[in-house]
Amino acid sequence: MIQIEQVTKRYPAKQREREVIALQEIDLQIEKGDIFGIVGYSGAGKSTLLRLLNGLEKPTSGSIHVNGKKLAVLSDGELRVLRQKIGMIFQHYHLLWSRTVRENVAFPLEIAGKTKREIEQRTEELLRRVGLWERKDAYPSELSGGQKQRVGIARALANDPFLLLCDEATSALDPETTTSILQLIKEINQEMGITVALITHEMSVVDAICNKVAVMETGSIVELGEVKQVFREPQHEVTKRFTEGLGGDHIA
Amino acid sequence: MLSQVDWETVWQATLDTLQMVGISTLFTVLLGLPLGVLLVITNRGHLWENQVIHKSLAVVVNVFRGVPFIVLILLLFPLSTFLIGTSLGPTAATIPLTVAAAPFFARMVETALLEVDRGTLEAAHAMGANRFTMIRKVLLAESLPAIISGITVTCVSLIGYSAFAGIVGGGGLGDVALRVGFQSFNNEMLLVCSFILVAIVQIVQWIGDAISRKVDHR
Repeated sequence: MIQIEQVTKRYPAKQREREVIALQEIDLQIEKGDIFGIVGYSGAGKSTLLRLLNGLEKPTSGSIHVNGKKLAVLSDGELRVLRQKIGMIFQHYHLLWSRTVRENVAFPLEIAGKTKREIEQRTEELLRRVGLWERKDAYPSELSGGQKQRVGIARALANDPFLLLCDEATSALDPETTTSILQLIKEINQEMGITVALITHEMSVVDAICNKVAVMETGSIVELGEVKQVFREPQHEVTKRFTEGLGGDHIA
Repeated sequence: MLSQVDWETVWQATLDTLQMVGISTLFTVLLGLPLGVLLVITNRGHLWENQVIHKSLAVVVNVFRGVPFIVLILLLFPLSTFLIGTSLGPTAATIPLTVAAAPFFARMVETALLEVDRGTLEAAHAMGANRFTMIRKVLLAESLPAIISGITVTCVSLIGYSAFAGIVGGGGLGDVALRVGFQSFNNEMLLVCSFILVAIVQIVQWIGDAISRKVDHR
């Protein structure tokens, strides 16, 4: 479903700043139905890599295909239409403070030009699905972190995406809430068949829900494969450090 | 008590002041809001990066903000004459008032919009929103409480400016306070006009704060 071939991303030198190479000759494939984990320390390039998948970042060289479409040749308009089918959630949720829970979930539907009736119906479905229907008229400032992330997930699912991008989605949450959010992501993947790509600096997240993992360091993928395989026999030094001291609390 | 007050004059002056302030606040917002939005989105790394437009606008704004208001009014007399045929009266005064206040308000809009979390813009971008939607439904909607506070501050400043504008021909409470009050040794008129100006400021502030609080859900 996603093919990344020989992708390099450089940020050109600015005054007083040197050129930054964020990604170096990345090759990666994500199959339909995967929960693909990209793990690495901060600055490893995982955030840039994730943003290549919905065109928020453009590669300096190399090619990216999503659902058979080459991103580089899409017009701005075509890219916007594609983005409506790629949900994204964030570490700090990035909800609109000025909107209620329901209005936040309505936002992507407004962008997609849905009618008022469709929006009303769809937001109710989604909020019931993530267990926040009772809080539909609350503002984000009145919610806990876990509830905010549930709104974020409902919003990301609004336009029936085929792909969900998770940008450190549980890094600001306590362990218990993390488990319930990961559970929800897993259910979404299984029930709706939505492919998930997530980045994290916590191997426990990968352990809990991912089937495949890529370990990154300084802009390169240093290890790649099935989670079980990588955990059993970590090859690279970074992977070993990441997998050290992990219990096996896999969410089935 | 207050026997020297000519209430009819005071009433007319109050209406003139309200007219001057009302119209100039309206046009200041209509002019300053897009100007502030442009200042923000043309900045480096923003929605519509354009250094030429950004720097030119910044210079224009700073020039108008740098010139003292009383000088600006004198310089803008010809503009009033050109646009509406006279430089006298409350309507004519709204032109220099607007020109003076719009850049001031634009800077406040700029500050308000810069407070909006860049992450929410990124989220909208990721949802497939176009620029116009991001400006309207993210930037402006999210900074509404701050923008309303900005309008309140601008309106209060315009009440003060309108007293100046009145003196050089606009009429209104400032003009009456000076000519009929101060220069004619009618302290009661001076006091009454000042009191009404203070009361208008207070009411504007109350209304502004109330609206700002109502739309603030942070």
